[in-house]
Amino acid sequence: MKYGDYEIHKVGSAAYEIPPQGGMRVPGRVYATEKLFDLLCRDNALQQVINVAHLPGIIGYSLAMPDIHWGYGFPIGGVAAFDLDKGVISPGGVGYDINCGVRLMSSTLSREDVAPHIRRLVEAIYRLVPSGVGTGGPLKVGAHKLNQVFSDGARWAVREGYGSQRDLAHIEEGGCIAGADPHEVSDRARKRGSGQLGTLGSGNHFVEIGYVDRVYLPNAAKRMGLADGTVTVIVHTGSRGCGHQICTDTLKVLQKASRHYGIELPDRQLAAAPIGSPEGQAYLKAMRCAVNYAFANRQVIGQRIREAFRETLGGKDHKLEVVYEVAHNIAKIEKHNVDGKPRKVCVHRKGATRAFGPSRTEIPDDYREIGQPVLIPGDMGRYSYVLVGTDAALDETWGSTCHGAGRQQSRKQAKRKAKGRNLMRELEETGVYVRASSMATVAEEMPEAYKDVASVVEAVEQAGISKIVARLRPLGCVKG
Amino acid sequence: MKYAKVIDHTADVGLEVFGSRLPELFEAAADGLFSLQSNVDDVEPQEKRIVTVEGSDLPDLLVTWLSELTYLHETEGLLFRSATVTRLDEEAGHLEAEVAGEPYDSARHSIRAAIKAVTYHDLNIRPTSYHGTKGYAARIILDV
Repeated sequence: MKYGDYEIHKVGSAAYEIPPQGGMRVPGRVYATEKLFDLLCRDNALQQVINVAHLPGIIGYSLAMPDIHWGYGFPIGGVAAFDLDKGVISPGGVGYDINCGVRLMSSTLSREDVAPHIRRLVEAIYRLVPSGVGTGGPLKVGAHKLNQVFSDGARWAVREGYGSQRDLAHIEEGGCIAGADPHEVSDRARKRGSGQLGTLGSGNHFVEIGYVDRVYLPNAAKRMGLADGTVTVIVHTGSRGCGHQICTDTLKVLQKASRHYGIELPDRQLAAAPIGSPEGQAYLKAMRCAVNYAFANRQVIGQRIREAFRETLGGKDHKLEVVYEVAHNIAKIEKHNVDGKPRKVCVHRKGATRAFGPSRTEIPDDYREIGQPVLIPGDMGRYSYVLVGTDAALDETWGSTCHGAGRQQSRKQAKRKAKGRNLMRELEETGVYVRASSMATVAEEMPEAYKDVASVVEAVEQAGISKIVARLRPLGCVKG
Repeated sequence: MKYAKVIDHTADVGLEVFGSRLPELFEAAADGLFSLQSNVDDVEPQEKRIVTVEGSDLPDLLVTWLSELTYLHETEGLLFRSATVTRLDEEAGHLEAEVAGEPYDSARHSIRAAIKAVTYHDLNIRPTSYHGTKGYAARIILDV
């Protein structure tokens, strides 16, 4: 089949390849079922997969996960690894919301314990976790503390009394990525970041209380503390204005730098610099500050959620534990097998999640046998999924998988479809209580605006890069 | 003459803007941004700010201009009503402008959208004509 001037071949049951043509240095490879592939051809995402393949030093493939859709530079759902000497780093391969990610918490509560109190619980979370447009939170940090947030991430939050060391073991990178340098963060990014810790933001960010409604892999689910009816909490948010500003600042610098280094860009949003260059290193160090900011943010929010549970359900210890926390907008230096030999490469995951299999030592000891948990949020009406990574993912996708459902309607289309409808009541009738700062956001984020996440996780399972462990259904949701 | 229109985009939002001269184009882009953030008619021009930005070329200057306005809105809690470009030097990549607005007041204002970032995507500043008036148009996609 053809995509414009490009050939496309089906390879395996859930993957398509675009052989190199023109300026492409490597093939493109898209993981998708036939149905999903048909959907994704409708926006510009495939062209973006092709564009990424033009970047210098890219190794293997320009990859795309089944939830791929159009983004800035890289498609959302795009994964690419680069040689450390010959390759580039590109903020478009990370995203504006650096370390946007997902935390999953489990509890000793069951659906029956929580359902009668869901309204009060959601209202408590809405009060304790500020959300919505332009919100700052009560937790304002001065310059010195902000530097500590940038350097130490969730570890800083634990030191300040938000949660415990136990939480850190179940966060990617232990909640703190090495190599952050606060000196590389601009005053603008600092100003945006200083007042937003512990806040959710708006748009597609949320806190969701739910429960396990189906277990697919009992052994893996048990390891994670998930059983039928277990009450769970999902937190989806990132580095807020701080991360957005770091990306904006860097893209501006790299407009000129790309030209200076002779990097031909099919798209300005793909602006890049050699990894070892001063500009490349500056971005890596600043990006890691934003990564740590997001880890700290989710740690603070997680602790506030624990307070909300205690306040609403009484003083009992509900053992709200971190099952795992993942980043889905990030670039990391990782060791992978390249042509049979271990080598460090720079992996960009934009709207894609790390999904390491059991052979990797980065996985916490208690999950070593089952693989790294992967958290895939769906829309607020239907379901979310918990997966595990596989060793096959290490071979095929630099240990990466999908991150969510992806939009299928624009915000304007969604608002139009929502006109005259009482979305909150519709959701309540399906058993989901939603509290949002803005009705417009609820309309924009309504379930129909999103693709069905079930088809996305089925595709990654079919491709062998992840395995489905459990399905979660929502009871209540806080949206910005 | 200038105009700004909000356009649809799958994951985010965009602006189509026109100005009969480049300064008007930049003012129109600001007008469009302000209208995305709130109902401009409710915003009083009580406070003024001078904004100065640099860019390596015209698109970079436009992105930097709107990014700076987004930054002021977010960090100072300001809503803006109008922008007047006082100096635009395309060759030097320099822009100066005066913006007028007031602090956000929850009793009188409602914030429509949180603009996270201004992107370079599909940013194409091109000579064109609008209703018989020659000038410049641009499309700007914003991350919300």
